[in-house]
Amino acid sequence: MSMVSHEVAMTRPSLTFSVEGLSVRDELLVKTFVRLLVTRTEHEWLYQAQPADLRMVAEGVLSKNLVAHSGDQQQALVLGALPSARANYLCMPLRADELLQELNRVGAMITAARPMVASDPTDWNKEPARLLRWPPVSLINTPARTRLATLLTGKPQTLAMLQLRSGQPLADCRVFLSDLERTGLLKGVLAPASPSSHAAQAPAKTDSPVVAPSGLLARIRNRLGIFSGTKS
Amino acid sequence: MIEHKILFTGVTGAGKTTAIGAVSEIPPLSTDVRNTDVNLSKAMTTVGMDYGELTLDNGEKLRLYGTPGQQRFDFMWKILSNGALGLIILIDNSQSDPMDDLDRYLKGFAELIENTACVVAVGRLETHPQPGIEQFAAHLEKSGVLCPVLPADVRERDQVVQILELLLLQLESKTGD
Repeated sequence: MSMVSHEVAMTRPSLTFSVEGLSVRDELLVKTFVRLLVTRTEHEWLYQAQPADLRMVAEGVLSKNLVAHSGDQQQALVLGALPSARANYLCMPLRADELLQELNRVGAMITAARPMVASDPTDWNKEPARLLRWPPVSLINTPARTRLATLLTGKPQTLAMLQLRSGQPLADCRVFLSDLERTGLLKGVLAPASPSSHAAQAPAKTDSPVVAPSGLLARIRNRLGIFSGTKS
Repeated sequence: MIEHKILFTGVTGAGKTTAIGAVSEIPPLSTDVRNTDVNLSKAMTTVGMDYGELTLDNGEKLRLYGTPGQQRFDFMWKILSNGALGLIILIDNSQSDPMDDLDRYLKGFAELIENTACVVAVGRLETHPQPGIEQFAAHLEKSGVLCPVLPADVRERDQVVQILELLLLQLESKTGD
């Protein structure tokens, strides 16, 4: 991600969308379309498998599953094959202007409905964090973010530790942690473990991890020509 | 002389020899023989292992081993795992069941993965996009493994270096080195 888009990410609310019931081809098309438009939308839209802020659903699928979701705050956008003037509906093939308009409209509704407590994020300077699962591609769309995510797969890291190990700007690390937290992929070690978070618990089982001799990793990096800015 | 090693595993044709050759300072040594398996479209296949190496600035050697691709040689996996710094799993997405392939290596190298580091690199996604990276990530989560999973073309040295870098980062994050 460029510096410009980082700035955009810091100033725009981030929202997530899922895609349901479409063919593989159409799902890929929708994701690509949103990714192309996201530089122009009023919110930063990131793909996430359910549950996401916005469900983009093939016509017919929604009616079957809507009841199960009717009690939560999710918005839905139906994607159908025939033109229609009804609300929360887009006709395939998608038109860029229509999709942009809908994303902005739905995004405004979602952000307006968010409770105020959402603006009180965890202080990752005090609470070490680790990943619950490997993030979706939309969240790790740069090598730097991939490295940050990798550093969060092991021992829990505070924001300062993450910045030190990654060599990335503190603001970038903070935005990344916020994105992970917002999408439910990050867990503070002080928080109770989710029963389903097997992956988060897995590394804690390590009884006798291999400890690389001091300086070895730096020597390997040096030999491979990697200048990652990590501490070792 | 102190020696260290990193393992590459994956099905036959996943690119273990290519990946090692991309970063090794010596031409990769492979115990290839003429393929007699009619299910494989390769003239030669690795029945023992691949080997490459890098000399570090203090004279130590980093040895890169590619495991045999076929499950019938899985007795060698444990031998090769002994003392390894980590594991790179190369998935060939053009295979009939890449998720099953991943499972085989997660189970076969479970102890190494738990105690060191692991990266899953998925190849041929451009021609075989399913399963996608997110499906692999979900599968890893179900399997209780948290590690990087990314698309990769191991013919590109830069991409192999990136995979190795992530392996080192994960090892660092687990051990605090």
